[in-house]
Amino acid sequence: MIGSSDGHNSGSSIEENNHFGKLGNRDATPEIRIGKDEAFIRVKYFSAAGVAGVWAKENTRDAIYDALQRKETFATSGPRIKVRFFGGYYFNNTAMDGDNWLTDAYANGVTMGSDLTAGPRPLNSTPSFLIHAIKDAEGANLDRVQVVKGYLDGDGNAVEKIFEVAWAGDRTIGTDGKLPAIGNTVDIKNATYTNTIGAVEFKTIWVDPEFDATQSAFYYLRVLEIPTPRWSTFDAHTLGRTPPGDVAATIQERAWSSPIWYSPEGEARSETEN
Amino acid sequence: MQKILKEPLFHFLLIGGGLFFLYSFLNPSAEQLDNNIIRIEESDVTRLVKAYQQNWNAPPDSATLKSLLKEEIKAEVFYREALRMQLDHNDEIIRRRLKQKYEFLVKDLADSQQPSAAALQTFYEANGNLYKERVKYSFSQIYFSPDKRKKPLEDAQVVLAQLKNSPATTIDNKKIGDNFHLQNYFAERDYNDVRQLFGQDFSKAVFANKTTGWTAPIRSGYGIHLVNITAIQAASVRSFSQVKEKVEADWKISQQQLYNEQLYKNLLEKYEVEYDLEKWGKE
Repeated sequence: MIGSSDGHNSGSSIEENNHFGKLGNRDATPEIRIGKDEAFIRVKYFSAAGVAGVWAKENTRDAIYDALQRKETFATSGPRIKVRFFGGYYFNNTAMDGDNWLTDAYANGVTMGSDLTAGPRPLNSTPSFLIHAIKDAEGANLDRVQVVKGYLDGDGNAVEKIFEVAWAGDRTIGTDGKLPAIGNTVDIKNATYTNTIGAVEFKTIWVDPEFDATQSAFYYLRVLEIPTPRWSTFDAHTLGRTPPGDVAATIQERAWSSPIWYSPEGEARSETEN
Repeated sequence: MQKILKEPLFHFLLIGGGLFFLYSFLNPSAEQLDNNIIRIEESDVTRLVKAYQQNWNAPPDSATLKSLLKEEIKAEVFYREALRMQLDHNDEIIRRRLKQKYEFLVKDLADSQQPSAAALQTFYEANGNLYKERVKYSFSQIYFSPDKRKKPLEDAQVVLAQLKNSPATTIDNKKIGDNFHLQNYFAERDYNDVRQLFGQDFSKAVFANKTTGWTAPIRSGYGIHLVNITAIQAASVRSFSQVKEKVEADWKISQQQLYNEQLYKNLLEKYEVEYDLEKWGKE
């Protein structure tokens, strides 16, 4: 899993507050992007570009390609959010304490992009997941972390279920299973927001409450930022206009980890299933 | 002899000769072309197997090799027919590729040159800006998390007052502040290094300090930090012995550019170029 762009400018337009379009002269100015030219109005619906994250031991070509090959990669919708995700059978309650927790996590579990079945497994054991998400140092605070689980139900239908695992502020999950929204500090007229809500980081150990050892499943992380102005809201502010009504004025930027796959037979998926 | 070796004309003749040799080596004889013979040699098979292995990390099995060879023959037939029809003419991609191949010949020539110590020294002195070392700071930091405290800035100020009265050896950064996702000590980082880790505001604030010691609390996107600057390394130009390998590589690149320009100048003399000076401007 990586994030990227479909830009044609030889530059990635990843920042909402510094969006310069993706199509050269065809969407180079705020006037064109949110203007009234119906002939090329599509650009209004395009998002700013995403970013590819890679966990490499060092900033060298070899180390980065090694990380890509073992799929220890993640995606963001633009901000430099950092996400760690480990799965394993040998993590205890203190697995994320202390200075060496990362070294131990690599030694005792598998990283994002891996099969959870690799290596020996204790009998009748439930895997647990280590989750660490850190905000962009120059960006918005974080709202929540979710785990998305995918599996086939009894009828063979594909199901994706979202679990809320960590969140900022004083909120509780409702009877509908959903976590209430965090709120919104965005001043749409001035295209600003404040980090008075949200968290800097989430660090937690999670166990799937519905784990079924006989069922194949994948798990990936989704980390949401607090609401911030969309690029079109910045463009509208630049032009002293009201933001376009047919696109959202605020968005929640996010990061996604590569999945961790669980399969009951205790074997890695074959190459052809990728 | 020394003088001849430096003569651009000599380089030109050398390259010209090389091209001729390469051409006759890479192209099948006219006779073979005329007779419409396509001969698959051992070397062709080796090349195909090698290319396949590079892509797939395993040698092709016999069925795959057979289809690779069929493809190779098909490609050769189309290639020859296309040449006969002169489809390579007025093709921008082919033109660009041939230009590139021609320039590679010059690169090989430049790579084979061994510069004298004096030439490298002169190049190093003339291009000091290529070997600059930026200002670097070493510092330790104590983190106060807004996730864990109601008033991280006030907490940091209280701690700072105590730290200023304590001998440095008794301070254990990790025990005082909150857990931080990065380390507590950073050695010899430049402005951009620090910016990438902590954000621009933090980096600006750290690099605004011109002396070592504890700074006022600094805010980053993560929270409040107490920063103890332990060393400031001024900007400098790295010494010749430190960067000798880079100087040699840079020298070769500059030689290559020089050869390319010289070669082009010589070749251009063979041609009479006609274009409308009034319309397209003067050189």
